[in-house]
Amino acid sequence: MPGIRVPLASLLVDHNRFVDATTDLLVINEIPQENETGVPLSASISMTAACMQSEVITEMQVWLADLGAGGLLELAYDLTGGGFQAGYSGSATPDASPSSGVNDELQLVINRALDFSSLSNIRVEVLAATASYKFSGAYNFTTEDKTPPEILDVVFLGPRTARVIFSEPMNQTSSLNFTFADEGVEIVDAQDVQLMTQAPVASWTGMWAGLTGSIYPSNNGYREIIAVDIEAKTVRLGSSSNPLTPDTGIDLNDAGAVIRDRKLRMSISPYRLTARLSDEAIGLEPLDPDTVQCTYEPIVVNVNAPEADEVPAGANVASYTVLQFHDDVSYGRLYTLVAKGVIDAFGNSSGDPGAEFDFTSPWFGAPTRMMVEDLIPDEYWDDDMLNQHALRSIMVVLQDLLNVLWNRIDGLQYLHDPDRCPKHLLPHLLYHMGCPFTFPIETESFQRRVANGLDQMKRMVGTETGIEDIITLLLPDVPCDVRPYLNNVDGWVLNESLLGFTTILSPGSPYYRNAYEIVSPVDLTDEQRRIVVDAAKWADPVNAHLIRVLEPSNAAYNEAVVWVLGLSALGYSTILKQGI
Amino acid sequence: MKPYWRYPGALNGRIMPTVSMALDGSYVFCLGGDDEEPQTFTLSPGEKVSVEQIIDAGGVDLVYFYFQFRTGPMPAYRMVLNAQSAQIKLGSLATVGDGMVGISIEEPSLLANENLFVQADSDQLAKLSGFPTPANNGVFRISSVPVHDDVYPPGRVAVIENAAAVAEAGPATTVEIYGARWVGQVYIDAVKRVEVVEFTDAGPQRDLAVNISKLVGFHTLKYVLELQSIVTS
Repeated sequence: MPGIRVPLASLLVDHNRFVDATTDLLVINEIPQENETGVPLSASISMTAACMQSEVITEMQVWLADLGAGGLLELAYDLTGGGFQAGYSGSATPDASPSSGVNDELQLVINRALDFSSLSNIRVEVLAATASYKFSGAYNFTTEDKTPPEILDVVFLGPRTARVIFSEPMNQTSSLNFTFADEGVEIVDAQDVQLMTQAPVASWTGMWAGLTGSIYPSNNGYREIIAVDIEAKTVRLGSSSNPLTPDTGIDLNDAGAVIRDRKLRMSISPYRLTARLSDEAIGLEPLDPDTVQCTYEPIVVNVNAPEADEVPAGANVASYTVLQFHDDVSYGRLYTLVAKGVIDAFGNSSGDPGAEFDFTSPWFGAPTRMMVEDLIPDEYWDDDMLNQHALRSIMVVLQDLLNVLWNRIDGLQYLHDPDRCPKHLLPHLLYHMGCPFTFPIETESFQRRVANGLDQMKRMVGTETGIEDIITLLLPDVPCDVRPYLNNVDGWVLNESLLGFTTILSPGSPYYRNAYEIVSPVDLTDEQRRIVVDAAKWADPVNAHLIRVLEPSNAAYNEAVVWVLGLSALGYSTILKQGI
Repeated sequence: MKPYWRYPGALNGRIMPTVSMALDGSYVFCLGGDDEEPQTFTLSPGEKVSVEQIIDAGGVDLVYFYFQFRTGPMPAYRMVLNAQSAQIKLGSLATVGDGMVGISIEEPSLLANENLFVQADSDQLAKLSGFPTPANNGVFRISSVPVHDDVYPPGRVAVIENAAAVAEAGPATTVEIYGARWVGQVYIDAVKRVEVVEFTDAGPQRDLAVNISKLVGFHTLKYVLELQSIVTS
């Protein structure tokens, strides 16, 4: 067979020990072995039952338990009970040790249909028997994720916002690593970019730099950072095949006077959006719709983690990253998103060139009123597609611009639609609707929820049920109860006077009569408490006032809700409480 | 292995490892290379290196030994084309008159270049089958994967070392890239008793054993490091 180029392995072997076994039946060669760590999630479990006497292995059971997930033992293999159990496969090979003559060994390899979870403590219990001997033993090993993170999906929330879904929780220091030099930069020569105020950091090397704002179009876009000079505040970009054109961002007229001060900006992140070439003109019909390519690569201008309410219920927020681009992506074009050197929660890097995900950008509901290439006679189009593609390039640029323009114009009709209003206009929609709340309404989903419910909230003000419903609209997970404040212990009891009366110094009965409290079934965060208080104070009747918010950790949470009226002339103490 | 003359006697043939930890004491037998960055060699699947010794098996049940394995990144098995269209071209592989002999994937239904030929396929083995001419089928070495972005997208062509190649089109061609792996084996008297495959960069130190309870007298214990092809997924 021809030779191949491979790295040479290293097999160290040493220290032969001759052992006289203390039992006549035992299990040897366990892989993973006892107390082994860093076992891959998809590892097979192998072992050999060996009899020191000439007896055949007649029984063998292997049980597995994930001690970190409840620790219930699960039968994986039973020699006399159907072999490999549901969820397991592998091989069980009877074998004869040298000069034995009978199958006094059983070599077992167990594959689990489902991978182990990372950092699980796995317990293996083994039972084996021959006609005369029995063996029972157990050992543990620990699994660890060794798989680099992959991009599972790229979901565009809008033409400038994409949610990246990784295959596993990420180390957010790496996956959210982002710097935006938006105070301005200068392109000083064919490779170097000068930062104005910020000093670069060494860890930028290898990441992607996205430039925007240069008057020279070839400067704009992504390049790899190949070196940084911390003292000189310069970043060297790998642009040998596409050198930069020096640009200070200042445009001068013929007389040398400044006529415009542009701002060149640069973002640094592990992410790069690249146009993906199709296989045009390779065996495809020239007019095949797949023979198109992206022409526009907007740069990343922000990277952040989504809020918990922006990912599906039960999903791990750490598996998500939201990218903001400085401009709209082209609609319906072929792209690849690259995430270079991002690290998952278990320390595995996506490496270089990094995790890649191919996708076609969505149309964002844009109408395809006209395909520009349809205007070109077929014979010209065929000729262009099989040659320089210049005509196609112009057509794609025109089509992309028209698509974006149509989409933005068509979006105007949705300015007052809470569900379809462009994200960046949502704060303006809330202002227009007269949103009365002062607490922060930051995430897109929260903004849309408030905008959707605001009309209904306004109709519900002034009633107990209304306040409850408004809080539920704002905080669906916190069903609060609004009830009258029936406790008079907040007064100062001044004790019995000379006239025989006990005086309670308090704000007075009208105050209590118009007071109410809110009972939350869970302890609220500061943000939630602010929302509850703010919403209640806005929605309560003019003569009512919120006196307190009770949470389970509050000492008064379990107090009896009663008014103790004190000893009457008849010698009875009366308790006034809510009826059932 | 380091020169035998260096430490005659107990250290004969053993080295003091520089990358891995010694398993017990300071010296070990090392099959392969003990380098920080594994050196790359051109080797044929099936090539092996071994060390053996004579043991006295009388009166003991088991012989235990320490095993530790380090492997670099190895090529994985991959199906490039499954009963689809490809051509063997002689002298004009990527562009007219380029002098290269090899295979060109012509399948029109493949839109993207992923999972076709990649640069890492250079110097690896490809199994071609389904061509009408028998001489075009077989296991061949890939010399290089040319990239001519202007002429062809990358990943469509590969230079194949097949002196008997005949130019022709194969409408139902299958192309597989063979993977490779290193395997550690232990033999007693030329009979394999233990086999270990590590897919991690540096496997843990393993305490393994061979059952010699029925043996008496002197026998040969042999440790082998072998390069094997992976020919299925």
